[in-house]
Amino acid sequence: MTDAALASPQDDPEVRKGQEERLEKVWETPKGVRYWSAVNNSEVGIWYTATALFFFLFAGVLGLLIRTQLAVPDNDFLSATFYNQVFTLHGTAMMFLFAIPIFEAVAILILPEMLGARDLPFPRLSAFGYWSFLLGGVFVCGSIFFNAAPDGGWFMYPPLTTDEKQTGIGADVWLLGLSFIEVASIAAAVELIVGTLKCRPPGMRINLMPLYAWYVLVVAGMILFAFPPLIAGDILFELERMFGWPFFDPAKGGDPLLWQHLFWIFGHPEVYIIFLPAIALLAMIVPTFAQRPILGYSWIVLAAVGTGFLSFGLWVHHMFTTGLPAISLAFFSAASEAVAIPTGVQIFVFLATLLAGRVIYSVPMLYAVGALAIFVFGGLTGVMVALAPFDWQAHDSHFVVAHLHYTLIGGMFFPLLAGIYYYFPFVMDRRLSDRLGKISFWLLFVGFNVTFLPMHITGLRGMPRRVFTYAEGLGFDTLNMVSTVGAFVFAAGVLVVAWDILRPRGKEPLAPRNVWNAGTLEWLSPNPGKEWGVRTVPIVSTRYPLWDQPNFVRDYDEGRFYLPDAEEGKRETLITSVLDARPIQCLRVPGNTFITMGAAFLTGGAFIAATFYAWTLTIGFSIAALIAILIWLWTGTAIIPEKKDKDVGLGLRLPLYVSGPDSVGWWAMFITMIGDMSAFASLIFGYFFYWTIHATGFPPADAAGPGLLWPFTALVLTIASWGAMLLARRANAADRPPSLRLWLALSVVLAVGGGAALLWGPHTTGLDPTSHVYPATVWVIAIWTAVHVGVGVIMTLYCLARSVGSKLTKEHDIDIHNVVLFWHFALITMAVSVATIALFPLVAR
Amino acid sequence: MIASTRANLVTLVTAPTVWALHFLVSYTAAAGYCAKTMADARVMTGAAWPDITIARLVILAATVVAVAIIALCTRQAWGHWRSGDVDPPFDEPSFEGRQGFLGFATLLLCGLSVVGVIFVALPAVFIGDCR
Repeated sequence: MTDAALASPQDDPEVRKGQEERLEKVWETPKGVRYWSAVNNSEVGIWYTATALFFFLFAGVLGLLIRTQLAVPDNDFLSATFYNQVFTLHGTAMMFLFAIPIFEAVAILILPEMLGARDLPFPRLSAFGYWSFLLGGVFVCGSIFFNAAPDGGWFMYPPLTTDEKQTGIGADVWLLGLSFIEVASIAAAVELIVGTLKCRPPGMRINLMPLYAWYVLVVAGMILFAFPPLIAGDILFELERMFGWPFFDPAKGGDPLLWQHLFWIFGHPEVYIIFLPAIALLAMIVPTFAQRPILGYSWIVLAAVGTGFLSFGLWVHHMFTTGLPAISLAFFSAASEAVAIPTGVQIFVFLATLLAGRVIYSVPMLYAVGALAIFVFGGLTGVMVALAPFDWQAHDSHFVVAHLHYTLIGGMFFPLLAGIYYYFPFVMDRRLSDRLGKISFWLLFVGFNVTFLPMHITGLRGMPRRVFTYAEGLGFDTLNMVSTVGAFVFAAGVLVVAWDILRPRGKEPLAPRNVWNAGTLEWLSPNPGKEWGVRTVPIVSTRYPLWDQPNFVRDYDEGRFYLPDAEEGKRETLITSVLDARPIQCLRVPGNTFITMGAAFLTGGAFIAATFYAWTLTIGFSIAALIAILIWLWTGTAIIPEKKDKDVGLGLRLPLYVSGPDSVGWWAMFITMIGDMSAFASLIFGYFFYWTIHATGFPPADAAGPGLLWPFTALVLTIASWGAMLLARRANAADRPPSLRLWLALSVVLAVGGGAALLWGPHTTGLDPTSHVYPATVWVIAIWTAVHVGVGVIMTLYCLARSVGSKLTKEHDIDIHNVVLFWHFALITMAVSVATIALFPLVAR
Repeated sequence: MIASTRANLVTLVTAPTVWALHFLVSYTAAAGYCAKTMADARVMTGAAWPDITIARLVILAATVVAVAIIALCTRQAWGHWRSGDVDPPFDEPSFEGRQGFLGFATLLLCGLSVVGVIFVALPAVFIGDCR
């Protein structure tokens, strides 16, 4: 720090004591039952992590059931139908309830402090995501106790899963339970992107950002493009299961392959969505234990961004045996080979850093090295199955099971354990046991290889996946027994880790501050940690401030940076610019509340009721959820501060309220709408997919389309409604509330007309969605668009109410900016819909 | 945003975005063409496989365009990288440090993207029909 800063009020210990007391009070974790109303990242992060680990244990038990059943030939330990539920739920829970959520959980837990922020910008959104995840996860997992779990494999291929006689309610549980969780994942992605871009400490330019944050940014971006196609697929799937709209039924022009495309457009990037955040933990651990900065920072960024992109060009390698033309397969085979380049770069960067540094051998490093060994092996078999001719031999055999476990356990589970051993003192103030850590590592490492190495051979000998038993003497017997023994050794390792985490610690001393002598900000906080997260928002000028910035820890402890106080008794953090992290706003973040939990449970209620086709209940829950969300928004967002700006320390004054592209809310809306557009693009893809598979006749020659008149009426009305919103925004900027309200009201009327006209088109021409895939596709696009217009109407009415309630004014105009932004996207949706369903048939051949 | 004297997050991802678009065009051209021409022939009649010369030409054109755009990105990134006269690891807390880092990372991504584009174009060199 400079001399000028030394002569600051922070010199007085009494002042500092007062500040600390105020900060402690503001960030205090509520007690008793109100504890569950917490929204702060440290509480939500711990719940999230614990819940995801619990689902891991649950899914692990299912894995042991699978191995027990397969231990000997002709086994009758599990029935065939129950075995189907067990392996489906094992895969589903491991992927959706453990591997993806643990990324969100860990990021919510450690990212803010890594960025020197007190919290992420939307803590209530994180809490909403957590409660959604908890409810959805319990619902999906609980189904197995009622013999009602999904049983069609974790990728739910139709026509098996659209056949209600063969698959019962389990398929609905899967579709609706997981859709609900996917929404929560997208919410987390929005939170993490905005957090990484806008909540970095002053001075942390983009070239100084911790590598973990780079990975979070890339992965959250991938979620925005990967999850929405699955949500779109889920919508089509449920419409077929519930109402008989024949999207995947070839008899009525549908095609089950569309589901495979939509599933794997999600499913392959998802593998990297799981892998990259775990590798990100290694990118923090390796420099610490090499005691030197990472070698090749830019190369890691190349690897993260490059993998993020390439991973979207791989999905068809899951579909090599579906009979697609060789040239299609070859594109995906080529991209699957190419993705090995950035993946390999990361591993070489880690090895180079270790070689260049003086390595401290420790439990996290042990797990990191084990991870690299296992993952490299899995990566190599990945290159093998990326070659279509090899895949034709290995497809759907245990070879693939072995391959995917090598990549996931090596690429995700071992790095995660390295991360748990590394970050445990950060979260719980005490270290895990070194002795137990080494025991668990060797149990896991040996158990894993004993389980899955032989499985390659089992697969090459021809044992298919997903069969509940096999006959004696086919060459599978010994190999399967060995795998089963290995699985139990592996499970013993998991138990040792679980015991180490949960065991009572009694008088065990606290870990010293910055126990690993790391260089990044999250290790600033003393043990035991304080609930405020960071004492003061630091100024950063290096990648490893704890190593490289003199007097950094002392200045931090004495609050000599920004926001050392909470004078007004509000929770605050700094918002900075994207590239250079210049401070631009002091953001008031909302505090504890039960409303997010309520909103999550009501939303979940709607999904769960729909599973049982209980429509009245579904509608009731939906309305209640909408009301809860509106209350949450009304009371907790765009709050008008008591003053324009405040002194955040070091002589800097920052505004408390900003709107438009400067505000975090605008960014959140923009990012959410990117995700929304990718779901919409998936539906449009569906339309054109059907067009390509019908040589002539999509639309069928005898089918009436939605006509031109009504779709165009809808488009014109929507354009007018959007225009009215622009004028409303202008009226607000000119401080003319009456004309603001007039334009808003007009926009509502026009939009209602627009949405209705779009639905009236296919209705009036008598398109029956159950008769053929063409009308079903037209209807689903029209309904999607009309729903968006409807959401726009609700938002516009909300603005109107805010204006009447004097919460939307010339100076305080966050709401109108964000809603206009929504309307831009709604207009694009409408225009593309009309072009597709009304204009395309005119030129289609 | 894309053509800029200052490197930013958009210039960083331009080259891989071009890769993605090239991939999409190549796949759509070939798969769409084959699906459309073979839609009625799900049960093969023994006739010759449809020729995909049109799709191959589209892929050729897309490849030329993609490589050209990536070349422009490379030139720009080279300029960003060199402009600040900073050395790796680009960790100076300054505009030059940021510019040098983004320029260099972009350069690496350009390299990866061009390899990706060529990889994805190769099938069209060797495969001439919808078999």
